[in-house]
Amino acid sequence: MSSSRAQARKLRALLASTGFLLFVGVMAVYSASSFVSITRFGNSYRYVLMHLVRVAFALGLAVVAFRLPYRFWKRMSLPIYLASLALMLLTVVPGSPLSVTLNGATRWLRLGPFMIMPSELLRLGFVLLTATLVSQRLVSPRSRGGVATILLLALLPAALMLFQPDFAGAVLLCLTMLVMLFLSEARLSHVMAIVLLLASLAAVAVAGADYRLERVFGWQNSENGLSAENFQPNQACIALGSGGLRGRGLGRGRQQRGFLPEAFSDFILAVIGEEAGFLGTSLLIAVMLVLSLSIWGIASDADDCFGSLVCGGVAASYTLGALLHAGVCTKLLPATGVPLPLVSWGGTNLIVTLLGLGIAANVARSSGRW
Amino acid sequence: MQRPGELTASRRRSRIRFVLFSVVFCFSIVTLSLFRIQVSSHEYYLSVADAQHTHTVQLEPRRGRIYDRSGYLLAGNTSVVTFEVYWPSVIQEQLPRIDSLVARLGDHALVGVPVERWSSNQTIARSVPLETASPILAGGVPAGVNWRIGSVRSYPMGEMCAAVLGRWSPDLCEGLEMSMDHLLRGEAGFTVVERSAFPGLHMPSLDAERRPSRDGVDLRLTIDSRFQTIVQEELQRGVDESGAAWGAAVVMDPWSGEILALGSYPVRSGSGCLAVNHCISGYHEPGSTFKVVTLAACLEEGVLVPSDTFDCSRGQIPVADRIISDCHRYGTLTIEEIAAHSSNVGIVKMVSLLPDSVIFSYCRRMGFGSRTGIELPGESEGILRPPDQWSGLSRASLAIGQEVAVTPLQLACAFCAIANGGRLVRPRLILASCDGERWRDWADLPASRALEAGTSSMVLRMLETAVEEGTGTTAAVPGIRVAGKTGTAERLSQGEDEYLSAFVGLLPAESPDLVIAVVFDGPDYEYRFGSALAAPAFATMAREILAVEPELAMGHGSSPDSELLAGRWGTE
Repeated sequence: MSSSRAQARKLRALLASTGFLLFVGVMAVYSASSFVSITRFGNSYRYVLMHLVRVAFALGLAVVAFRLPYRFWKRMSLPIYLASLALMLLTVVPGSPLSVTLNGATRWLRLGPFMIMPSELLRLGFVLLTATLVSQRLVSPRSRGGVATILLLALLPAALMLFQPDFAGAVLLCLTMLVMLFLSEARLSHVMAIVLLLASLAAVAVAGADYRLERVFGWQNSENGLSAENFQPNQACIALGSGGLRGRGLGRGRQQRGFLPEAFSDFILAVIGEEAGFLGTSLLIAVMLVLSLSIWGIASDADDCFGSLVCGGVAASYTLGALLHAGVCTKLLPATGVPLPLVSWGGTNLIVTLLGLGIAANVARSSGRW
Repeated sequence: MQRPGELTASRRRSRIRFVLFSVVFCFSIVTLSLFRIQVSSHEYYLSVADAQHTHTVQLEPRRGRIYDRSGYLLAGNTSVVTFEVYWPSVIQEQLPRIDSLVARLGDHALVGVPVERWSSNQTIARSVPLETASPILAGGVPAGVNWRIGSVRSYPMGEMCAAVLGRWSPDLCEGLEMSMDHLLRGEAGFTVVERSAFPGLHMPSLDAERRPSRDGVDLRLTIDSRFQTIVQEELQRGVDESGAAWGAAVVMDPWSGEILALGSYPVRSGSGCLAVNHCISGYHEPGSTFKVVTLAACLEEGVLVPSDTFDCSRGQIPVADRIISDCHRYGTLTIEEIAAHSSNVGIVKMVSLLPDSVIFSYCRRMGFGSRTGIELPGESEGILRPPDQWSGLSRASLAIGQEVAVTPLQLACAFCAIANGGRLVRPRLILASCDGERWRDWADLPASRALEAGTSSMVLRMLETAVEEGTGTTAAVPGIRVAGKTGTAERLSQGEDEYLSAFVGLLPAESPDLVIAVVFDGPDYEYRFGSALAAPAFATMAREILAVEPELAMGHGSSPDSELLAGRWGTE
């Protein structure tokens, strides 16, 4: 029963860190969005109210997922994957009545009052489907055919994402796929071959779009001057850097007043860094690490292969999203739009992440019961 | 039932352990990177952030306003709008809108229609009155057009008071505006606003320093704008009629030294700058008006009594190697008659009774040869040489107002001493000032004793005779007793005789309330005498001043509260 006690400890860490991140997220979204909200709606709380509604909805889903035995998702994996793939197709089909174009990219679908981002949903669908296929031995990750199947399951939607275009989403999906393969004990030679294949594909994708090329070349060089291609990351660095060790104080950030684009979604870490300083960001990073490690731990101690792989996929999805976001804000990576999971504005990401955590929590709860 | 190479929990755990290390490694890199940006490079990023977030705004002070003694505005500030175009942000389709904007600005526009593109920022209209600009601004301006509200100095009385006030603009400062600039200008302040990236959405910075602006001090002058207008218009009329080069006049309250009007015409030189204010500047031989100094000196020193007579029948008198003569042969004259007829011979005979040093000291005591200290720039002290530089002719010349240069203001002050019982008052232009909270009266300047009261009243009586039956009859004002002295100075200017026509009058003669000094320079020949030009101008000014302020005719101290002049609120 020691495994069960260890899982309970990890479950507590997961819940606590998730709650902390959600709380920080609400505060940060409020601070980062209040200026934009005032200019668009005349009050400061419009965005944070929407965010709170989404948090409540996502928490509800997470509680349901926590209550459901996780094996339920085995049956749901294929429908979820196919449904999200279909939604994804809708965004790509020209003239689709549901698709929404923002900032030159068609990544969203409007379903009644909600806007959803199918690429986020698809990542969860992929994780569930892969875990199901591998744990049911429908595909064998140690065979070429099995690896190719999993690769195809990821590359097909990734190609659609490039059409939207959503380069970051495609990268995130492919990296999640790599981790899934690795955890499914694919041969290392296969994994390395796929890494090389993906790297060359990424190079082609970057070279194929001017704005990506500019971002990659604008990244790191020309610290001086706010040239167009690295404007956003430079503004993020100004926000972080001007925060210093202790920060300017909560609610007193200046960069979100129009200087830092997408302040409350793709650059929320920069806003937090300006207001809470290095002390705040390092605390945040530590909590994010605790959350990541606790899911990995649950994956490691899971009773069965499916639970372990699903937890691994959720952990990979969360960790990679967080690292990409932090990497872009600190100019370690080229500029691209990735929300910080659990913290940023962005309903689909929040719902999918919390849903994944709910499943992981159920995995932890179920461990050692038989 | 596991096949070799299939999934096992232990192998999965070791792979997860590898992933865990990678995760910790990546998060460490992110943390290090955050440390580098937030702590190591904090200073650099803070300076970049401050440069794009904060913006220092100058807070312009309001220039002090200037009022006349009754509170009428003489110099104020008017809001005006400046229009600028930042051409790089003007798109071609907007050009017709800019054309129509320029057309609506009309005369204020600095550019013609159709407007031509400029490389960068261009001012298209300056000093547009707010009432013209507001309807234009209410309709919205095209993109690229910027406007800001500024302030220009306005003078409701136009040029009527310009001889005193001068003019102020950012690149020009004259007259009282210049001498009182240290009070009027106030002090600029600044505030730092935090900018947003959107135009117009700024907010004051919470922690940046700020300094409020301090508005300029408001001034209330001793000038009575009604008197000023009368004096200035009469000077203009006199100059136009007589062909004089200029005219200058001072109206003073002899008891307080307050200057009620100070006119000089022409007000502006050909270049548009303020012309010399001849009331306080320049060097003019006073002529016969100066004879009151000799008269007063002889009477005060007791070398003669009013009943003494002098033989002026020859009409001339030799002094040193020259001959000083009268216009007419008068015969034997009493002192009063000498004053009345302005007999040079009589005066020269009188002054021969006094030593040089005594006549010089009376000149000094009556304020000649030194600045009066009026609050205007460019005052000259005149010319009064000490006795050790005198020639044999000097004493006689001085006695009849030659070899001495004075300003009309000095003359007026000397006559004030005659009018007020012998006190030499210091002339003043500023009655009170307000630093934004309350009005504070400016202290009276100390007066010095020039003459005994008896002497001044004797001289006053003689001056009254001069107007009644002597040279000053043209200065008479119906219904009121006037005392005064004419003056006609002759000088050579570029080989031609030039004349200075002067009159200094006091009224009412029994207890004067006003001293008015009027001087015209270089009139046509028929206007050369003081009695022909300055005295009638005096009479017109006096008559009009009494018409707007009839109580002045009653004389000083006649009213129970002895406050006849407007605006003197419990001072003195």
